[in-house]
Parts: sequence; structure tokens; C-alpha cells
Amino acid sequence: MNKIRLIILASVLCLSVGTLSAQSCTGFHKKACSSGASEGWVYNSQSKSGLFEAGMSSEIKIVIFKDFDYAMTLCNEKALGKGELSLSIKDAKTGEVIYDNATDDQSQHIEFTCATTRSVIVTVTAPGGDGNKSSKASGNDNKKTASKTVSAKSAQTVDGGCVGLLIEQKASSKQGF
Amino acid sequence: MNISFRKILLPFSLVVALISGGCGNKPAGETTDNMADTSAVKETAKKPGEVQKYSQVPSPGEMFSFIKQLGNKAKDDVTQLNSPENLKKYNDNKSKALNFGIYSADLLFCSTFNHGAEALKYFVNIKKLGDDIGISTAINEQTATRISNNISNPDSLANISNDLYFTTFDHLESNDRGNTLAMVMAGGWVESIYMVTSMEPVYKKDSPVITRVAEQKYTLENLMDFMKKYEKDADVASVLKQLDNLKAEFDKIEDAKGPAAITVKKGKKILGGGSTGIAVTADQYKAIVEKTMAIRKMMTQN
Repeated sequence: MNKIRLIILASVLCLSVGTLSAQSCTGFHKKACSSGASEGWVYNSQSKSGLFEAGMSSEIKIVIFKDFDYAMTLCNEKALGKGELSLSIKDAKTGEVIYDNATDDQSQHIEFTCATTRSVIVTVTAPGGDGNKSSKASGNDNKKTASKTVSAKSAQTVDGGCVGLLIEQKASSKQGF
Repeated sequence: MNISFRKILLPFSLVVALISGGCGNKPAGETTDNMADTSAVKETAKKPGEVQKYSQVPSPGEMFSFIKQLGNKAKDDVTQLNSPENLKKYNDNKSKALNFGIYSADLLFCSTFNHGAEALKYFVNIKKLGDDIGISTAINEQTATRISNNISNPDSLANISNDLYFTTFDHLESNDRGNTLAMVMAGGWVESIYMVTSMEPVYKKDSPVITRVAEQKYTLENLMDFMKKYEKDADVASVLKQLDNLKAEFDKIEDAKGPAAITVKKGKKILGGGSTGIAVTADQYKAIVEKTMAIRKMMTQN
């Protein structure tokens, strides 16, 4: 009887320790993605964070408005492995690919001016994995396979790590006199 | 044997419990309530090959900031806001969540347009409704003090109000309360459209305010996408039905035309240059104004 109680208690403790190291990614982008606030950028509430596993993708549908400049910055926890995050932007209505960081030196930051209000889908893909790269835009040949090395903090979060997409905006400056 | 186990396990359990409950490695200012901590286990990484889809909705504050930037003669009339006196009408979860969103938008409106004294009244109502719908930990007395101290400082007030909105949003999201969040967002969205259409109730060709309202066809689509995840909830489903009626009017508006591709001009990336903007007619705008008013009336019970 005492042994059973011991096993139950030990199991509860193990679960508690597991819970302890698991983390919520909510608001990760606010803490980890470097902000350009000093240059007049303002936080855009369509920013998002989530827990990713290597090779996993998320699609975030957002609305961008005419005459605004936008900055998108990606960041991730080291627990996710080596390699850069992939970012692509496509028109939500037509599916036309507008931007792919595979053709921009895998840049983790993009700034652009929006000339027409539209709905776009931002796809963020974690490095590594062997899954869905075929569904991503060309140019990313899996050379950035993530190692499974994880930090102590994330060791029990199913090899996942937080990924953040920080979106900032400011009114476009008018050019000329 | 039994005693020795107790000697070892009980202190160990206490230590683990204390660490779990009180020593989360959170940065200053972040909410540290237990609900937020336990939510972490619900967030599970998905497998490679899976694509998660999300639809995001800009906050009401972003809409009001845009209107303010226009510097037009917008009538920032607080009498159009949902009266704080109406709080007593909201007795069920649905009306509380919806009007939490509505009052949050009203607070953002007051903050943006420099109505500091009114802002405090709306904060008090948000706090009360927040307590009722279980998000009191996201709204603290410290925020009330910050609002009181910045009543005559619109920039700071707007920042505080935006922070409050985002904190509430994060709190509901991280606590797996998507159905409540869906209704809060719906209330906030409807109130922001109502307030902006109140500023420009009659159609004027080329009005940037009216164009901005027309562009909300995209944000409404995103809002409804988000809400559909929770449509099994009867309250969410009933609000979705109302919004669907409004969406039918927005859908009549012609989309922007032209390529979306990025071009580079003077070293600057331009997205969608050369295309025509969204086009709304007088009849379409009138219908949107009327349907928004009707939905807002149902939500606020006015």
C-alpha cells in the first residue's frame, strides 16, 4: 500500500517538474524580438508568438493598411535549433507570393511601405525538420537542418521553442515637397 | 519506512510546489497568476508538416490612432460612447464579455482623443466586468493609478490603455479562453466601427475616414475567421450570425485591384504600388452604418 502511495507521489512530482519547465510563448515577441521603437515604430497588435517544433509552419492572416510603413521582425529561442526562420508573405485573396526571405538572404527583418490596403498571409517556418518544406516557397533547400540540442529551460517542451513575429508600423513619410 | 518517506517526500513536494507556483522566470511587469502558469502545458509544439492558421485583428486603438492622425474635424464626441451607467444591464456572460470589449474600445477612444476624466470611468467598468468574467488578474490597481496620474497626458494614457488591451488579450489567449476572447474582440471591433461611422455618418466621396471604414471588410473577415474556431459556443455563434449580416454588406465593396508584388523605389520596398484602392459607394456605406448601429444596439442593450 505504501509502495503504491509512493509511486503515485513520485509520478505527481515528475509531472510537476515537467510542468515547471514547460513555458508559455504568449508575448514572446514583445520580449525577444528587437523593436525599432526608437525610430518611431509603433507596436502592431497583429504580432504573434507560438511554440514551434523544428520544421513546423504557421500562417498568420493580417491586414496591412495603405500609407503605412511596416516592419516585421522574427525571433526564436535557441532551443529550436540552428538556422534562420523562413518568412513569406502572400496576398490572401490571390495567393500571389509577395515576398520570401529565401530570396533575401534569409533576412529576419523586413521593412516595406504598403501602397494598397490588403489582407496578407504571413507564413513563418521554423528551421530544420523533414516535413513541409515542399509546401514552402522554393529556394530553401533544408540546408539549415536544426540540431536537436536544446537548452535546459526547454528540454522538456517536446523539442520545441518559442517563435515570435513582431509587427510594427508607422505612418509613411510623404516624399518630395 | 513510511515515516522516512514522509520525511523526504513531503518537504520535496513543498519545494516543488513553491517553485511551480512562485518562482516562474517571468520578466517584470508580466502577469504571474496561476492560470497563466498552468496554461503553459496546453501550448504544445506541433509536428513538422502541420500548418497552424491564425487570423489576427488590429486593435480598436489602431483605428482611433489613424483617425486622429488625419487631424480632421472628427467629432470626438464622448456622448456616442456606451454610457458607463449601462453596466448594470450586463448580467450574463455573453453581455459581460461583449461589453468588456465595447468599454475597452471606449477607453481607447477616450485615451486617444484626450478625454482623461472619462477614461477613468471606463476603466472602472472594465475592472468590474473583468472581475466578473475571470480576468481580474490582468487588470490591476496599478493600472488605475497610472490612468489617474496621466489623465491630462493623452500619449501616456493611450499607451496605458493599449497595454491594458494587449494584456487582456494575452491573458485570455494564454488561458485557453478563446470563446471569451472572441466576444471581447467582437465587442471592441463593433464599437470602433460604430464610433468612426458616428464621426462621418453621411457618405462623402474620397473621405479617408470612410475609406478606412470600407477597408474594415478585411478585418471583419479575420475577426469572423477567429470566431469560427469557437462557434460551438452558443454565445459566439449568435454574435457570428449578427456579424455575418454585416459582412454581407462589406462583401459588396469592390476590392483593391492590381498586383501585390513588392517593388523597390528609391531604396524603399513598396508593396502593391500602382493598384487602385478599395471602392465603396454611398448606398454600401449607408447600409454598413445602419447595420453596425443595429448590432451595437443589441450588444449594448440601448
